[in-house]
Amino acid sequence: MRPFDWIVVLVYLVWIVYDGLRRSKGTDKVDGYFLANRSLPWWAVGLSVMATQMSAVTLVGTTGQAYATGLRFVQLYLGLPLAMIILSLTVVPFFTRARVYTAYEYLERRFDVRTRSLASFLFLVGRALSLGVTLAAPSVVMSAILGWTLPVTVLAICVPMIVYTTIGGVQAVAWTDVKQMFVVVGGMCAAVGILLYGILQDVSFGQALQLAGATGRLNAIDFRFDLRETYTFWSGMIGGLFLMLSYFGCDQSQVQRYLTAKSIDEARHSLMMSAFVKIPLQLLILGSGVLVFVFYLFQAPPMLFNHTYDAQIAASPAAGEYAALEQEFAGAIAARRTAAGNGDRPAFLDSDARVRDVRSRAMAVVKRVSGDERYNDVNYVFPTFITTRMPIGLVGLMIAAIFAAAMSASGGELNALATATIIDFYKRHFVTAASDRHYLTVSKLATLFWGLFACVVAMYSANQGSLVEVVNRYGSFFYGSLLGVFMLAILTRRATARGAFWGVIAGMAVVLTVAFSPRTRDIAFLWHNLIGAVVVFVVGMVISLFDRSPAVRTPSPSTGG
Amino acid sequence: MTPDNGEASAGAGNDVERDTPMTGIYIRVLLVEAAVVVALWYFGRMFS
Repeated sequence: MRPFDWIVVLVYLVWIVYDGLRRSKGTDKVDGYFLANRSLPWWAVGLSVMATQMSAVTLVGTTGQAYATGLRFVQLYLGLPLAMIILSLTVVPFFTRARVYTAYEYLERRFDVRTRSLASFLFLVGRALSLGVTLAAPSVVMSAILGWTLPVTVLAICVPMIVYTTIGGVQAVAWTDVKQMFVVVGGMCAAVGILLYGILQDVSFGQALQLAGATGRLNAIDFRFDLRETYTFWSGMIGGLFLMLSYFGCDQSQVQRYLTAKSIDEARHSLMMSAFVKIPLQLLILGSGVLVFVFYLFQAPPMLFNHTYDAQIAASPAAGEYAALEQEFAGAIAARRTAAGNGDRPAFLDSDARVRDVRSRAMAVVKRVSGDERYNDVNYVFPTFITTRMPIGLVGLMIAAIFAAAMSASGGELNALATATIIDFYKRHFVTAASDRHYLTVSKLATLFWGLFACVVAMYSANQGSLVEVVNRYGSFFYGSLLGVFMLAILTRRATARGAFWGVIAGMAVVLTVAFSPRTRDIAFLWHNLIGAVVVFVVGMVISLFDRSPAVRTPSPSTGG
Repeated sequence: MTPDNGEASAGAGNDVERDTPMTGIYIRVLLVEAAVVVALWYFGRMFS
C-alpha cells in the first residue's frame, strides 16, 4: 500500500462516517431510529437489502472460491428470485400492514409471547455470531496485507461502522449502504478491467475462456442430484429457496430493511430489485475470481497465498522440504504457462494437475509445522491480487470497497440486533412503559453493546476455513426452524402456540442432529434449511391437532393481524 | 423525505397500504432467471 492508496482509504472512511452522522436527523424517536419512519424509496431499500447481504465475506471469500472451483457457487442464489416473489406475495404485505418493528412481534399476535421470544432469541444468537464472522473476513484481509494485529484491524473496521450506526440508526445504515454499494460495484468493475487488460496481453478473450473452461471453472450449473454436493442446481433451487425464504422473510436484519419502505409497493419493488440483480452481481464477483485464475496462468502466482506461517516454516526442519516444493512449483507453473500459451489442452491440464498437487503438499507441510489444521489460502487470493497487481489508487479503492462491504453488511445487522433486543425483550419483558426518549437511549446502548460483542467474536473466528461457508453454516442451524414457525403462523389457521413452540424446538434438535451425526453430517448444509422448516411445520401441526387451546388469535392474514 | 437528504418526514406512511398487483414483474423475474440458468449451463458446456 502506497501513501496515495492510504489517502483514498482514509478519505473514504471519514466521508462514510460523516455522511452516516448527517443522516441521523429525524431519528430522535424510536420509530425513526429503527424504521426511518417508514419513509424510504424502493431503490434505496433495494440497495440496502443487497448491501446487507453482500458482505466483505462475499468479496474476499467468493472470489477465492471461484479461483479454486469456478462459478458453481452461483447456484446458492438460484432460489433467490423465486423466494423474492413468494415473500412479496406473503410476508411483505403481512408485516407492513401489521405495523411491526420486528418480524417476531407478529408471532406473539398469532401464537404467544413464548414463541416470539424463542424466535427472537434464535435470531439474536445466530445473527450475533455471524456478524462476528462477517467482520472477521476483512480483518483477516487487512491483517495479511498490512501486517496489523487482528484486534487492531477489527477495531479499524468496526469503530466507524459502530459510530454511524449507533448515532444515526437505520437511516444512517440505509443511506450509507446505498453509497457503499456503488463503491463495491465500482471497485469490482475496476478489478475486472485490470484483470482483462492483463490477460489480453497474453491471450485472446476466447482463449482465456477456453482455459478457464478446460479446468471446469465455467461449469456454473450442475444438475446432478447429490445431497452431499454443496452446490448443485437442486440444492440451490430447493435448499437455497428455503435459505432465502428464511433469510429475507424471518431474519430481522433483512425484514427491517423493507419495513423502512414507504409502502407495500415500494417494499415489493425493493425485493424485485434483488430478484433481478443479485445473480448477475454474484456472477460479476465470481467471474473476477475466475479471471484471477486465468491471470495467474501467465503471471507467476505465489505457491500459497496465505503467508501467515512463512517465518515459522523457514525456521523449522521442514524448511528444506518447503524450498524443494517451491522449486517444483516454479517448474509446474512454467510448464502450465507454456501449455496455456500454445493452446495445448492435454499438456495444460496435466501441468495444472501438477500445480494443484504441489500446492496441496505445500499446504500439508504448513499444517504439519504450524499445527493449524484449518490452514487455508482461499480467502487470500483476491487480496493478494489487489495489493500486488493493481495500480496505485485502485488498490486504495479496492481496500475501501472491502471496508464498504464489511460496514454495509454489519451496520444493518447491528441495527437489527438492537431492534430485536429492545422491542422483543427489553420493552416487552423488562421496562414496558417508559418514554420514547428512554427507549431511544437504550436502543443506542444496545447497538453499541452488539457492536462490541461482534468485535470480540470477529477476533476469535478469523481463521475458520472458507468464511463464506462458515457464515452460511451458522445461519442454517436456525434459519429453517424460523421459517417453519412463520409457515405455521401464516399458512395455517389450525396451528396453536404450543405446537409452534415445540415445533421450533424439534426443528432445531433435528437440524443439529443431522449436522453432527456421523451418518448424516455429509448432507450439504443448504438442505438443513429445508429439513428444519419441514420438521417444525410437521411437528407443529401434529401437536396442534391434539392441542385443545384456541388455534388462531389474530384476524385473517389480509388484514395483517 | 427526499433521497438527497435522507431525512424522514412526519407525513410519510400515508400511502403505506398501496398494494398493486405485480404479476407481470413476477413473470419477468422467472423468465429472466430461466434464461440465465440455460445460458450458464450452455456456457459451461461450450467451454468445458
